[in-house]
Formats: sequence, structure tokens, C-alpha cells
Amino acid sequence: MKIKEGFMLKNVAGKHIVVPVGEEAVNFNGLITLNSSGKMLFEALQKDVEMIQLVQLMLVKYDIDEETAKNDVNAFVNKLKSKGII
Amino acid sequence: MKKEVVTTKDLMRVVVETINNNQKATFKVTGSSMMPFFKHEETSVTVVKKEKAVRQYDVILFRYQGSYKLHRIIQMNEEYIVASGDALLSKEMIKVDDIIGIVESFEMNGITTYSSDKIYIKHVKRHLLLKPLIIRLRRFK
Repeated sequence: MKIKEGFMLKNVAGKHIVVPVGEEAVNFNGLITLNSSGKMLFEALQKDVEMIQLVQLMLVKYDIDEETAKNDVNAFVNKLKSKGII
Repeated sequence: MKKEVVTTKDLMRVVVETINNNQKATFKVTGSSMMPFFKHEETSVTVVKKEKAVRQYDVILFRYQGSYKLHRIIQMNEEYIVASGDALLSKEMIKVDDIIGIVESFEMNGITTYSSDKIYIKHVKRHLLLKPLIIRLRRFK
């Protein structure tokens, strides 16, 4: 899975938001804001990656157990899917 | 994961970039300067790039003294445009080049109103006529 074309990560006042760049209209009321781990996963998803690779990335970067990493990655991927970003 | 919050004020740079990129931008209004038509954190406005001449009563997004404002055109001539918040007596004198976009429509409580709506414009004209009186009366409350 990977991020679809037409979405860009922008830094706004030190926070990261996902902005659609190809659409005719952008609704800023429903934009996705990412924290540092979300940003890392979003950047990893610029390439075609598997769920397990994202979990491993979380385990390397953060001091968390595998179950927490899986839950976080699942929640993140589902959020992006629900918005049609992946 | 912890949820991050970005305020509309912070977002303005990206909003402006979006409009300049010929995309429409919809965002929630912050502040009460455009009451009673736009309510703080309740009204969502859709702003489009200025492609044709602006007209009196248009609500415009413009640069002013290092920040951005969303106010209504109350007067204009060939050189200057005078804008003001619907709830304010103060005025901003700007040039056409300061305008970033025009409010095409706004939505509040699930109802969308287009800026070209004749009934809305009629309400605006009546409000502007009574504005000095309404604001002064409010001060005595």
C-alpha cells in the first residue's frame, strides 16, 4: 500500500497536515493533522510498503512493544483509508 | 496517537497558497468581526481566487499590515478599496493587489448561502445602513 498521488505533507506552525493538491476544492475543516510518528509513517508510505514494515519502523524509532505498534499502525492506516488517502 | 490541533490562523499560509493555486478553500471563520453574518468557529466560508472585478458588498480575504483579514467591501473607487468587518466601525484601505480571494459562499448550521444571493445582499445592505447605530447601541447595553 502507498499514498495516492495528489496528497502532500505540509508543515504549519510546527505541525504536519496532509493537503490534497490536485482537487478543485480543499476543505480545511476536515484535514488530517499528523504528529511525529504519523509524519514518519506518512513519509514511509510514499513508497509501496507492507503493514509489517511500518510496525518495524515504529519499533525501531519508539520505545514501545509490538502490540502497541501494531495498534498504532492499524489506526493510522485505517484513518488514511477512510479519507481515501491510501 | 496523540491528536494535534492546528488553528485557522496557523493555516492561513496554506489557505492562501491553495487559493493562489486556483483551488477553492473552505475554512472556519475565527473572530467575531463579521457578526452577524459569520460566527466564530461556526461559519465555514469558501474562498475562490479573485478572477473578475470585485464589487461592493463582496467579502474578501486580503493582506493587511502583515496579517490576513476577511472583511466586506463597503466602498471602492479606481484606486482604493475600503473594507470593514460587519461588526466593526474601523475601516481598512487597501489596493486591489492586496486581495487574495472572494467569499463565494458560506455555510452555517447546514445552510449554504451564496454571496450572489439577492436576499442575503438585501440583508447586508440593511445591516450596513444600520451598523453605526447598532454598534453604538451595543456599547450602552
